[in-house]
Amino acid sequence: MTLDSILQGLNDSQKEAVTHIEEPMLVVAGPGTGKTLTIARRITYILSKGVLPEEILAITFTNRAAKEMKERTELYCGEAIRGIFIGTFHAFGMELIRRLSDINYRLIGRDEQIEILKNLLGGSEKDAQKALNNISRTKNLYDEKAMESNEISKHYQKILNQNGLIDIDDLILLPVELLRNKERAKPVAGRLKYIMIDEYQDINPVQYQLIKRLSGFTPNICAVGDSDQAIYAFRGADVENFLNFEKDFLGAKKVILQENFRSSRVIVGASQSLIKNNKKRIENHIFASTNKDGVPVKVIATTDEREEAWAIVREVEKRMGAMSHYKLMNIRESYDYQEGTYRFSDFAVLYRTNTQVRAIKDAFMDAGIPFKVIGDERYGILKKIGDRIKVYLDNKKGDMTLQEILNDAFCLVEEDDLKGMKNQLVHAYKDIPIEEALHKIILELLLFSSSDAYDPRAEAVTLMTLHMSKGLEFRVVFIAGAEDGLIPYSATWSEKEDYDIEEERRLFYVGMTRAKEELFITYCLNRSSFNRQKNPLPSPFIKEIPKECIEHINSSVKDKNRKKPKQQRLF
Amino acid sequence: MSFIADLHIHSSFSRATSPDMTLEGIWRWAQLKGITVIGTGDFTHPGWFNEITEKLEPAGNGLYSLKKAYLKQDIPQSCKADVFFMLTGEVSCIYSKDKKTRKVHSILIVPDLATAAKININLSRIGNLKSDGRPIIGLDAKELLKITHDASPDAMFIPAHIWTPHFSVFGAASGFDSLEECFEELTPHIYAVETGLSSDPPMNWRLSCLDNITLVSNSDAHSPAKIGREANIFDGGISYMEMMEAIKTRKGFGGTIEFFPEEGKYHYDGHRNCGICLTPEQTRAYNYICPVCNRHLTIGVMHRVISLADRNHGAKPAGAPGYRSIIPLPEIIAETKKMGPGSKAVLSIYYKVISALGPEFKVLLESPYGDIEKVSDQLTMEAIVRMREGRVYISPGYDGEYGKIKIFEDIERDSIKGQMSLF
Repeated sequence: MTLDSILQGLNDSQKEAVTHIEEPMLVVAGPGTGKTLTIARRITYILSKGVLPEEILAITFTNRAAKEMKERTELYCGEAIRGIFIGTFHAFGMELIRRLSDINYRLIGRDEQIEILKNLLGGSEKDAQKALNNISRTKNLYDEKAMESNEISKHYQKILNQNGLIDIDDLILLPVELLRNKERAKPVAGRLKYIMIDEYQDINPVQYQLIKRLSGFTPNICAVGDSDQAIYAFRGADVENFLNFEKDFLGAKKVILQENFRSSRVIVGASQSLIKNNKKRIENHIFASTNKDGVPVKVIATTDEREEAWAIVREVEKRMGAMSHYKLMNIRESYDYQEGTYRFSDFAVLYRTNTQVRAIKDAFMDAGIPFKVIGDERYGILKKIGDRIKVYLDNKKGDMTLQEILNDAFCLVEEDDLKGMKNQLVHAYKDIPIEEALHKIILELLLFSSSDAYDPRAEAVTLMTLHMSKGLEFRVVFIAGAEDGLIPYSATWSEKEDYDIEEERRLFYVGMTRAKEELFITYCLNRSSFNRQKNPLPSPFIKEIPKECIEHINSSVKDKNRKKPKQQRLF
Repeated sequence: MSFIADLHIHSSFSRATSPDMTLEGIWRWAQLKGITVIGTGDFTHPGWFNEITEKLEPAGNGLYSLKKAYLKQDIPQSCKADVFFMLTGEVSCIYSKDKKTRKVHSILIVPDLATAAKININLSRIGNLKSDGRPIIGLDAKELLKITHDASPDAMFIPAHIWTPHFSVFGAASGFDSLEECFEELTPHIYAVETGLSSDPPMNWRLSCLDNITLVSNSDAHSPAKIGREANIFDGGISYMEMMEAIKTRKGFGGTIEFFPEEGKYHYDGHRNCGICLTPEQTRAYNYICPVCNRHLTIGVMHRVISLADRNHGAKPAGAPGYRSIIPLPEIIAETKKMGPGSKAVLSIYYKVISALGPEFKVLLESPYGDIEKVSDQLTMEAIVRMREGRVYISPGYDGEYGKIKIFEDIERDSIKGQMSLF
C-alpha cells in the first residue's frame, strides 16, 4: 500500500498515531474514535517501512479483540498478517515459554488446580478455591513477597514445578522470569521491534512487568487505551499504569484521539458531562463527528424489575414492528418509527450485576424475541454431559440403549429445556449405530457449550453486564437498573464506602458510549432482589447528565393494569 | 385415489390458539372436515414434540397415526376415516437484509422425527423454540432453508402465505420482490408456495415467475373448526414421498380448495382502526396515505399482486392445476340463519348435516343438492348452489379485518323462505 492510501480518510491525530513508530507512544483513544482502524493502519505503515511481519507484536485483552484486529489489519496488509503476532497476553506468554524454555510444560485448568490444592490442604473444595484465588491474586499482582511468604503457595508451586505443570497465571509470570536473563532471551525477544498493547489501562502488575521487560529490547512501545474505560480494578488492573506511562517510558509521545465516529452528539455530550467528574484521568475532550444532535437520552422510571424489563421489550418492539399477527391485532400503538431498518442485533441491554438478567430474560422470552445472554453459564453443563457420554464411549458398554445412556448422562440437569434437548438428541440419532450416535451427540453438545454458543448467523438482542460490553457498539442501548446501590454498586447497604466511585462511573460511561443512536437508562422504584434495598433511589450518575440531554418517561403508572401477555388467547 | 391434505396448522403451544388444538382434537376435526392428511404443526416446540412422540406412531408411509389409546369414539359414523399426520412446523424469520427489516414465515415439512429433531437442535442454538409454537428467530430465511435441507434432502420448505403484508416473502411491508432476492442460489429448492387466504390461484397466475412453482393452500388454523378452510387435493398414494413428489412435479397434485380471496383479512388495502377499505386504484389515488389518520395505509394482497404481476387478470399458465372455492359450512349456515358461525344453533345444524351426508368437504363439493335440502333446508341448499357457482358477494377484508360474506340479500332470504312456507 502507498503512504497515501494508508493514511486515507484518517484525521490528523490518527495520522500522527499511525506514523509515529519509533520511540514510546501513548495513544489515548476515547470511545468510538477509531482505535482499531488506527492500529490496523499503523501496523500496515510499519510494514511499509520494510519491517518484517515477525518483528511486530500486538497484544490484546480478549480473543475477540485479537480476532477483530487481525481481520481489520488483513484488509490493508494482506498476506503479511500471518507473520505478525496478534494475540492476548496469555497467547503471547505461551509462545514465549515455548520458545525460551527447555521444559515442555503442560498447562493445567482450574479443575486440576483445585484437585492439587485439595490434596495439599486435605480440605474441602471451598478451602481449595479460596487458596487458589489467593494464589492467583498474588501472581497477578506480581507480589513476590506474598508468593514467598505463603506456605501453601510455595508448596503448590513446587508440585507444579516438579511435574512440569503451569497454570494460567504462569503464562505471564513465567515469561517475566524467563526474560530476566537478557542474553538468553535476546534471540527471541530481541526480534520484537515494534510492540503495541491495546487496552493498556486494564493491565495488571504482572502484565506491566512483562511490558517493562520487553521494553528492555526495544524502545518502540505503543500503548493504546483510555483511562476513562478502565473497569478491571477488581481483577487487579491498575489505571495508574496508564496515567504514569509518560513518566515510565521517558521521551514518550502522547497522541489523543478525540473525534467520536460512533455516537450522536447528544450521547457524546451526555457521556462527557458524566466522565469529567472523575479525577483520575487523562483529560480528553471527545466530540461527535456527526453534526446531528440525535434524540435525547431517555430515562425511564418503572415500578419494579418486571415492568422495567417490559418497558425495554416494548421499545424493541416499537422499532422492530409487529412480530406476529396477534400483536398486530392487539397492540393499538402505531409503529411509525423508522420501521423497516432494524434487526434484533441492533439492541443491547446492559446491567451491572448478573442477578438482574432474570427478569429481563423472562420478558424477552414471553415476548418471543430472540436474545442471547453473553457469559451465560447455562450451557456449560452440556459440556459436562458430553464428558459423561465420552466415558460410556470409552468403556463400550454395549448393553445400554441410547436412551438409557442419555438418561444417565442428563441426570445432572434439572431445567426443562435441557431435558427437552435430551429428547431431541435421542430422536435425532437413535437410528444410526450407537457409537456413531454418541460421537455426534458429543459434538452437538460441544457446539452448545463453547464460548460462542450462539450461531453467528443468528440475530438476537444482546443481554450482558456493563463489563462485557466494552469494545462493542449498538444502535440502541438500554442501561437497566440505574439505581443507587446497583450502579454505583455497593455490596451492602450499610457500607456505602466500599466501592470506588470513579471505577463505577467509568463503567456507566462505558455503557453509555456503546450507543450509536439511542440510549435508554431505566430504573425501578421497587426492587425485590435479594440483598437490595426495596425502594432504591435513582443512580446519582443520572444527575450528572445535563438536563437538556434527557427526556424523562414515567412508565410505572400506565403499566399497572397490563395483562400478563403470556397466554393471551383469542378463543 | 383422491384425498385432501391440510399441511399448515398450529397446536395449542402456539400463541393465540385454541386449547383444543391437541392431537386428539385435530384428529377428530380432520374427520369432520374430510381431511386425510393433516400437518402436526409446531414440531419445533419441545412440548409439542413430546406430545407427538408420545401420542403418534409411524404409519409406515412416512406419515404418522394417532395411537389406539388416544382414539375417541365421538365421530359421526358418516365421517369416520383414517387420518394421517405429517410432521410440519412454521418458523418466523425476522432479520435484516440489504438494510431492510425482513419478516418471512416458512413452513417446514419433514419425513421423520429424526429430521425434525436435527432441525430443532440446530435452531435451539439460534433462538428460543419454547416461547412459541411458531418461533421467531433472527435468522435469514435462506439459512433456514439450508438448515432444513441439510437435515434431510427429503424435507420440504414452503414459503408461507406469501402475500401477507407483514410476514411473508412477497409481503408489502417486509418482504422481497422475488424469490431469488430472498433465497438467492438456493431458490431452486423452492418447489411450492402457499398462496394464503387472501389470494387464489388466478391472482398468482399473473406472475410468470410462479409458473414452475406449485401453488399450495392450507388453513393455518389456530382452532379446530378452522382446519381445512383451505386445503390441497392429491391424486395418488397416501405416503410422504408420493405427496412430496406430487408437490415437486404437480403430477398427482389435483389442485387446491380455496377461500374466496375477498374473505381473507388482507385482500384490499386500508386501515382497520380508521374503518377505511380501499381498492388498489383508490390507494394510489390517495397516494398510499390514509385519508383519516394521515399515516401509511396497510397495503393488501391484491395491491401487492398487481405490483409484481407481469400478466393481466384472466391469464392461466398451461398445465396449472385447478381449484375450487368454498365457504366453510358453519359460515353458510350462519348466513342463512343470520346467526354467528360459532353459535350453538349453527353447530347443531352443522352436526346434523355432516352426520347425515358425510364430512364437510363432501357436503360442500359433492353432495347432491336434493340430499342437502333433505337434511337442512332450501335456503342452505340454495346457498351451496351459489357457492359452487361462485355467485356470492363478499365485502373484501383489509388490514386484518376478515371480509364479510353475503350470499343473500335480506329480501331474497325472505322470498326463498316464503316459497318454503308455501309448500
